[in-house]
Amino acid sequence: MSVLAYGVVAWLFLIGLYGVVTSRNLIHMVVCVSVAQSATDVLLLEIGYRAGGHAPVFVSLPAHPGPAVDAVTQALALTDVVVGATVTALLLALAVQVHKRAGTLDPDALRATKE
Amino acid sequence: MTGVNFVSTSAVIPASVVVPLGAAALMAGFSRFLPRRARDLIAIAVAVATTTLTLILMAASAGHPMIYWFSGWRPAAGMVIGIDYAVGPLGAGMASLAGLLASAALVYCLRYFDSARGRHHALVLIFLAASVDFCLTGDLFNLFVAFELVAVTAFALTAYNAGHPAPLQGAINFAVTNSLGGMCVLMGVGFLYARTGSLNLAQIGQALAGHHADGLIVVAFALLAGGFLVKAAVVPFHFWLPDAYGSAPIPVCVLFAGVMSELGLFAVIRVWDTVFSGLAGDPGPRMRAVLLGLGILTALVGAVMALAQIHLKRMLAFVTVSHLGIYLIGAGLLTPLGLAGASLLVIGDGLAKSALFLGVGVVQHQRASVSETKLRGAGRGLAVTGVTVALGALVLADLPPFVSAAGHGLLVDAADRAGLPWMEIVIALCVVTSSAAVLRAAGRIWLGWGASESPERDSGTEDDPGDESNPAGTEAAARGPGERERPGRRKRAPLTMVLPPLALLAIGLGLGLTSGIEEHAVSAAAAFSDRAAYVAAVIGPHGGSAAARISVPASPPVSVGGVLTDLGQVLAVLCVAAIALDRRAARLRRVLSAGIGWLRRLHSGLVGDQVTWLAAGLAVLAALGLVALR
Repeated sequence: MSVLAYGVVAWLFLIGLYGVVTSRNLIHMVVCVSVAQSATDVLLLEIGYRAGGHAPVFVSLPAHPGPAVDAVTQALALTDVVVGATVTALLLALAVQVHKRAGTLDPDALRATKE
Repeated sequence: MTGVNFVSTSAVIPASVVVPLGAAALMAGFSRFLPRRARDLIAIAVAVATTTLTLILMAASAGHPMIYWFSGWRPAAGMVIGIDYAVGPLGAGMASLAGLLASAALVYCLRYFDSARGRHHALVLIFLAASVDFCLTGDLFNLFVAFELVAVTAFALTAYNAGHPAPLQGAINFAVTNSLGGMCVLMGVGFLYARTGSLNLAQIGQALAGHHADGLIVVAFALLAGGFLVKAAVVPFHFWLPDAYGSAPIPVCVLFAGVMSELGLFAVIRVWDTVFSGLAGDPGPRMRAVLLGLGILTALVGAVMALAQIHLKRMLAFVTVSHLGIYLIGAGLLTPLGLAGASLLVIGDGLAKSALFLGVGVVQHQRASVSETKLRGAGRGLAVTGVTVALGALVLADLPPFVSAAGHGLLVDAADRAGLPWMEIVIALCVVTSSAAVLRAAGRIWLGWGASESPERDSGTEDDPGDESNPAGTEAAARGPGERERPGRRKRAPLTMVLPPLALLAIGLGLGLTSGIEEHAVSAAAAFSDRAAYVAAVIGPHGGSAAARISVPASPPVSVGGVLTDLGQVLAVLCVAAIALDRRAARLRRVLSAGIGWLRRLHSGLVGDQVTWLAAGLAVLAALGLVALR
């Protein structure tokens, strides 16, 4: 389980990076950034995961609740989701502006218009 | 310190972040109901107030760090639960530099934009609040949040003139590379939490102290350092910086060049000192070699590229890269003396670079161009700004008695004591090259020296758009009505644009003339890098050795030799600038410019290339970390 989760983290981050490097379309690139971002969330959740643990809600528990998963990493992941949403929104807004000004979404063409 | 005094200063600590952040929220929500002048003045007042608060903190925390626990969640029995601010004079000083530059930028905005909307001021204030948070926090995750908050506001500010392709390209490159850097930081935080179960810098350091680094620690180090070095624009993570600085509005460039990238270096050293320096096997000397190598490479690349630019803002951007390398050399010596030298240089160069950006802004505002060659001889009528720019260039070359000369002296002395006397020559070479580029531009623009069309142009300056604000008419049409920068008009430059750069230079001079500033810097740096004292202050006596007395190394007396070195450096800058302008040396310039063609081609401005370099840099850093830590 654990090895698989870390493998997923590495895969998501690297495939996201690969997508950003080779992207020919700004929208595609923004989505690739989000893919890389999701690697961090999977990593945080995996770090806080306990096999058989219940959700970290500590009201009206049974007598022997057993272990809970780590609430701290979930809070970190939540913060990261907010950050990711902000960055994605901002990048998409920039992509809209690029399309408006340059009539294309190709990141390389953008450089050509600069000269 | 008396009890009353302590209560009042402990209220100042959160206030220094809450005040600008709250004001920014109000500004974003209610600014439409305020007249423009009121908006401007409120923003300036808030920035000045934040500067004052952080200056109070700097004075109050000298000698012993001040710890503030949010909601009073103090550590119990050596176990940290809450989130703390650990305020030391170095961090607070960095924060007050951010406040000062934000104030100057906002004053400059009074006339720079036709009508700055409340949103711009709100973004600047959030940027300031996040920078202060970054400098004061003692919590690793809080450091990440501040890192992202600084970054996101910076992306938005870069693209503030979204009507033009260049700012859009700069903002996209900046946002993509720095977001990936942020993800690396967060993964590093996650790994350290997985190992130590804590997010508090002191507690993590305490948990790692005395242990040998294993694979997980090395990966965590590479991710954290790599992420912060992206922000610090250290080679090979620096490619986004000229694109962003070259296209951002001038007041925003002031904030960027003065504090933003320096925050990245600050974080690297903070995390090294508090978290990793206690690892077993004495990793310090090997890590010093890694950091010095990166610093030298960055300083050289930045200086050479600065000399090759004719776009003034890109030139200053590469000067910034070169300086970041020099700061990394100072901080990377991992001695209090080196860190103190780097800190004084950050202040002195930061003030001078900001003054230069503001001076270039005056030229752009009045002459509608930022191309050195197009502006040849166009400086007539802007004499005060000419003097500002020339003086700024000399201050970058450590002209005594400005404060950067004091920093340079400390840095050279620190390198000497570390057994690296040749470092002085490397630093001098980079400083002379980058300062000469700025002085060459000043000579061409204000004195009309040199050829009107530089010969370098022929050999391909594809990364030099040269003129970002060409025909004023089309530009004004392309931009939204509310946020356009004023196109060039032959009017007198407004005083609110001419005076702030002079004021910044004057502050640099005043600090340089302050007696004992070197001693203050050294003791601040010693407090910053003393892990035992930091842990004792945060966690208390449970955490380890009781408050160790910080041993402050003696700082060198001002020597005649040091002053002579600085003057020699200034003289060398004048000579190099003169050679760069002399028509007879055209051939030499052509050969040199052909020699660095490959370096220029690497700066392609393509975001894909930049991310490739980022990935390669991370891999190299992980390999170096493996060698250094194990």
